[in-house]
Amino acid sequence: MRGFIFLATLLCALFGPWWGVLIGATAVSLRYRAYEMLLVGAIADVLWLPNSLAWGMPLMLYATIAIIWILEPVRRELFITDGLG
Amino acid sequence: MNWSRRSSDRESSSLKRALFFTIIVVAVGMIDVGLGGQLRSFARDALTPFANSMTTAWRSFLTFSDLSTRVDLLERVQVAEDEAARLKERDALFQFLARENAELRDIARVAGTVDSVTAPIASSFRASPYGTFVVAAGWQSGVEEGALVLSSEGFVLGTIADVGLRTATVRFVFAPEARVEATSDANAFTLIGQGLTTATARVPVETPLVIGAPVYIPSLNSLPAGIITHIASTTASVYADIYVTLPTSLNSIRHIRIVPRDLPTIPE
Repeated sequence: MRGFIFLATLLCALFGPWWGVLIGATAVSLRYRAYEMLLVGAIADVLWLPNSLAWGMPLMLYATIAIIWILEPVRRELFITDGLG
Repeated sequence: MNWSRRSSDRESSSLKRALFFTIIVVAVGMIDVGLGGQLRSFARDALTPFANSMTTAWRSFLTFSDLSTRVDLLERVQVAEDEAARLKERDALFQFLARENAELRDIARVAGTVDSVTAPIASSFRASPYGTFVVAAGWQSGVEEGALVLSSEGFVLGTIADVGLRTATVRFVFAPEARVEATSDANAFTLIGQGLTTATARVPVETPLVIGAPVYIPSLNSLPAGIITHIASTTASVYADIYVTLPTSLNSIRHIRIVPRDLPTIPE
């Protein structure tokens, strides 16, 4: 399941709507410590954000970092987890 | 007891791994910024052919699968929509041309002789949260940062924001929250991008603007960027909201034209 969501999110970063990445990252982060989503966020920024910081900050990377680490205590508190991640 | 300790060890090592991965990704990002985006350019050049081949494979799958009938229908609808958009665009273009005088035609003739690059679109228009897309032409083809990106009918879509070896990133004029000064019938206003092909502006209600009039961007060689599609005002307000839309369906765009920014300025 985790691999499937990773692939789906990666495809979203390449071809689909950008918010698909955030939904995928949130979904998988509720169950796992999904650090692979950082890679997806980074890929989205690599592809779509122009090089200069004048065009803006790497929001997708920031968003995935925030999702993974903000959801960490929620995941530990509310969801049954085996610590895999 | 042992099980509990093993589980705790696993949890701790997982946490360390996640922290390590986060630090690595952030560090690579900072190094990339330090190098002026060089890492990103290399990665983009490497990823774009992969994205292209995936798109081609997906289209082939749709063509040869059971979905082909549905795809045929969708394509027919698409063709009809494209045709409608093309007619709309031609109408706006006609207005644009009708307003020009002999001087403009002379300048346009000069502009027509300037070298331009025609490039295929190499990415989805909607996948980017930054209002950007990628074209398959880079500095190897003579593309320069800041160059103008035009639709086949001459409407400006955006500017080159970043150039790699074989690819370039284009930022839409109407990217989300982008602000750009515009004019229409000698009335100036500030457009705020609503994402990709639509922008809005607030103007005094007595401003004589008409639906269907082309909107020009002075900072982009006064090229047309869209047409006014809607004007919303209420009796209680002294302002009217105008909506400007690119009269081209993005789905119909397969190639774009890239021209240098230092073309002779076209007066409105």
